[in-house]
Amino acid sequence: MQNNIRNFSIIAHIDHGKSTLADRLLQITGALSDREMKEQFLDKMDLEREKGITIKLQPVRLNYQAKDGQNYIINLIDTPGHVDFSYEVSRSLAACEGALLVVDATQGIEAQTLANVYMAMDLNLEIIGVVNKIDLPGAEPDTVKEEMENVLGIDKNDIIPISAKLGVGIDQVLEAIVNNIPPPAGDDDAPLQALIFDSYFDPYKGAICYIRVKSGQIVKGQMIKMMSSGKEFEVSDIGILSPYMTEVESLKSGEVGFLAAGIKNVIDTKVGDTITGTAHPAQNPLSGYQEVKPVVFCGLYPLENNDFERLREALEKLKLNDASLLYEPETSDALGFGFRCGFLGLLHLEIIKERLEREYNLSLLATAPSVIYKIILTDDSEVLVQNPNHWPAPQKIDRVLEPFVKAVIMVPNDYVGTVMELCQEKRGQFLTLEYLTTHRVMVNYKLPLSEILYDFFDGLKSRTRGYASLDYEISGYEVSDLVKMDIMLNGEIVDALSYIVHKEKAVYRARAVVERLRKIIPRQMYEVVVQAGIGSRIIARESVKALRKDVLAKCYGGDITRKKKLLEKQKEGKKRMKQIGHIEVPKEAFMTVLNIEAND
Amino acid sequence: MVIEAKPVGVYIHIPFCKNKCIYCDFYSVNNSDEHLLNDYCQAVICEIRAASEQLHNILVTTIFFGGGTPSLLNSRNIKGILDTIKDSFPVLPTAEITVEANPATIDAPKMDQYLEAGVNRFSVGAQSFSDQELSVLGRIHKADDILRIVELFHKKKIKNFNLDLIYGIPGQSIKRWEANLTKAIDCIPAHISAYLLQLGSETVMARMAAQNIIELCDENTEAEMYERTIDLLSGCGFRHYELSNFSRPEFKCQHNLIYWRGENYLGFGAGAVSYIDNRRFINQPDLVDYIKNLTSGKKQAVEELENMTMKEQVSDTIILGLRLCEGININELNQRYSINIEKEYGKAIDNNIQKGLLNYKNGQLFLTRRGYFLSNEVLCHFIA
Repeated sequence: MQNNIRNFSIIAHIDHGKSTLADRLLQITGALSDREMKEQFLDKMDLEREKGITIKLQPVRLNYQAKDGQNYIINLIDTPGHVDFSYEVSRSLAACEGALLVVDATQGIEAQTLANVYMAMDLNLEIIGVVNKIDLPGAEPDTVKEEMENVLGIDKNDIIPISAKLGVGIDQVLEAIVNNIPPPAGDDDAPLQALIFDSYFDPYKGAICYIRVKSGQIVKGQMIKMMSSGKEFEVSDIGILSPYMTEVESLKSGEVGFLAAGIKNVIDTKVGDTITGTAHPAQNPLSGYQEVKPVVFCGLYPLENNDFERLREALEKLKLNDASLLYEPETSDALGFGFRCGFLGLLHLEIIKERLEREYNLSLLATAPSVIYKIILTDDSEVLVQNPNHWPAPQKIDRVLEPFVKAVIMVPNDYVGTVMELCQEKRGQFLTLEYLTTHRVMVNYKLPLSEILYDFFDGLKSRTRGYASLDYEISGYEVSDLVKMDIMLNGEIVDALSYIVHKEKAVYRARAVVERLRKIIPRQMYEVVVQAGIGSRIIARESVKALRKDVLAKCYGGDITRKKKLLEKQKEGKKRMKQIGHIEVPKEAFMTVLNIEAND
Repeated sequence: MVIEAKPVGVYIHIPFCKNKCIYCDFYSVNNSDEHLLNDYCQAVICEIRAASEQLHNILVTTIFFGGGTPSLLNSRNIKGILDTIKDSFPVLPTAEITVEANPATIDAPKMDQYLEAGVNRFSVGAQSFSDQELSVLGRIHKADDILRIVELFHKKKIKNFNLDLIYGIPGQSIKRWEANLTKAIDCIPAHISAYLLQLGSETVMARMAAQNIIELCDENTEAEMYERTIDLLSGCGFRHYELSNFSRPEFKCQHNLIYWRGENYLGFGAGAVSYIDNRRFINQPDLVDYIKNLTSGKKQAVEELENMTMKEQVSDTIILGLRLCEGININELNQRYSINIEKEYGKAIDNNIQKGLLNYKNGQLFLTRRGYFLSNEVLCHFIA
């Protein structure tokens, strides 16, 4: 049977048609009846469907009768399409023998796709090239094929032109999967090694792992062990997703499925970990496992102080499903009780915040995101700081290091100049520039992570009319000349507004921040003075003049209802405000601090 | 069993103007055709009669002709409507009966006939004593027209008249506003309404401001004008009794007090609003439909604006009551709605007292002088 199994991933840039192709595969193989079919079936979260972005499709098993007359089991194991989740990409790919590379015939290869393809190549996966959206008027499948051949060395004659939307070329894709991707190797009788490539929390069954059995087999009732922690569990359910959960007695070498073992906490089912049996344990885990560490931190505070406990409960619940989310309580003089949270990236942060607000009906205030700085003190000791308020006093600091990334930007050559300008503005160091085709260029830069976190991507998109794509990986820490900027409202430091900034940019940024705060803080009973300073030195100042008029001059029988609606609106507006001392500050203010360019 | 009659104010909407002012967003049409006006008044009469079939145990305490321009009506129409009200409902003998008047539309004989018909109070849309400002506002009258009508009042010994004034007119200085106020005081009215010019987004003037054709006064000037208004009028024997209203003792507008005290009122006419038994209704504001429906024995379509819960009634009473300078009586409200206002709204009250916008004395909760022009900051906290 193992010979008739094919495990593959789809590598595609956002919007290049991954979900649509997956839908089509489900339909053609009969995994779903037309009645069950809804658009983007495998997108799990409402948020994903709504934003039109797929973070990750759920795995699915398809049955396919190929042209050679044999029946095949084809497992689709998806990779997340966003840089925040690139660790998960590598683990998903590690569960496969092949990958479909889907490229939009109107766009060409994007930076992230490239990074993921390289990852697949490193893992010796068989790559099947597919050019999608050939039905669109602007499609240039031949140019894109050329590009794929030049950049990735995929023979352009092997690349399959398809239209997932119209269902053109899907048969060829299925045949290529069967014919080109090798069947899994692995011995059913060897000790068990199963790779966890994803997991989530089910309130009834506990943590559910999605696994790929690499060798040996796993049966219901068996005792298993997580090789990274040594924790042991008894398997209560195993099964396949076709696409609904279907229980089976065993999963053999090469198979993909799910497993439940009364695991109370999703932290015990770490992506990348190896499961083995307790009776005949494997000697070594599968290679490549790492702990995933958050790189972006921010404070999350409930707008209503008494929602603190509800926020804690909501975070606990989300954490069950997302082991990479970190949180610990913190207090701010300005904002009261909240949590310092760690995320894989800004998209991850946004998703978590939005889910907390939407699914748990919380109104939250997020402080400006921060990276982790390494500070070497004058006594040679080292501290890690991810909250500007823990920044040591300047006289105690010997030097500061900040995380840098290696960024890959792919862009039509008309825009190279503007992209390089942007990188320079963001304190980038130029590395290399390569031509992919005569009119597409790949630019490599080293950039501080903190500079690309907030508005870099937006800036890149707007300067290149959406044509640029970006990928990056953290390359290490380097010394930087950084200072802590404090923001004061009527002379009082608002701790939640403090931020870390490069010394050369401090004045420009302080002015921009103060100006922006002047614009978004509504006029109040008294004048509000907004200042920015480093230590005791003030470097920017603006003031919000006192409110003089807020009145409905006329209110008679005919328009009481209408006038009340105005007051209702005003009351709603107040709900978005955080009271700091006597000053009402809109909740966006806190995120805004480091997002100057994107907003203006 | 004795059932106490429910006091109500009656409002008659006259949605006709010779020329609609560019700052106004009330329902009104540019038409003063005699036949149309007659037909409309007939329809109003039909509506009042029909209502009297359904409403019982009420006592009319005030009648108010508003608009539009009610003074476009001839006295037969005014009399016809007033007689119908008196035939249909018990009316308090001392009821205040007001007609809003544009100074350019009323002469001595018409005034006599209005008085004859029962009108005992005039509210004059003076707005300004500067012809230049009047033309900015798009008014059809001149400053002289105001003086003429005021002279008539004095000649006929009519004490109870109001002058409406507007401040914050584009181009107006604080000095010019004070001059207007002084001229108004010289007219010896019983009542002055001084309104800040506030433009509904749909008005012609709002669009002109958006396109920078005119420049509105800045907030500081407006606030200063308001301060001067209070000082000047209080110094001349007027009592400030509502955010924008001033009167000599005993001459508060009884009809408008009904609105601010959250009491019942009945509105007749196209686009008129009624408030009765905690529900607000509006007659569909289509003139032609209105005339056609009412004169053929049908009803005008009515839209329910609000059907208020107890909590909303309380909020309504507070929001409207705080417009009055005397404010609201906490005990009275607690009894009227069997609640505990201090408990329910304690935080909002304390906060605003701390900010110096509200005050609480002898059982009355009221806006401070500073709170008047910032009253929305206070009132929005009491929205249900």
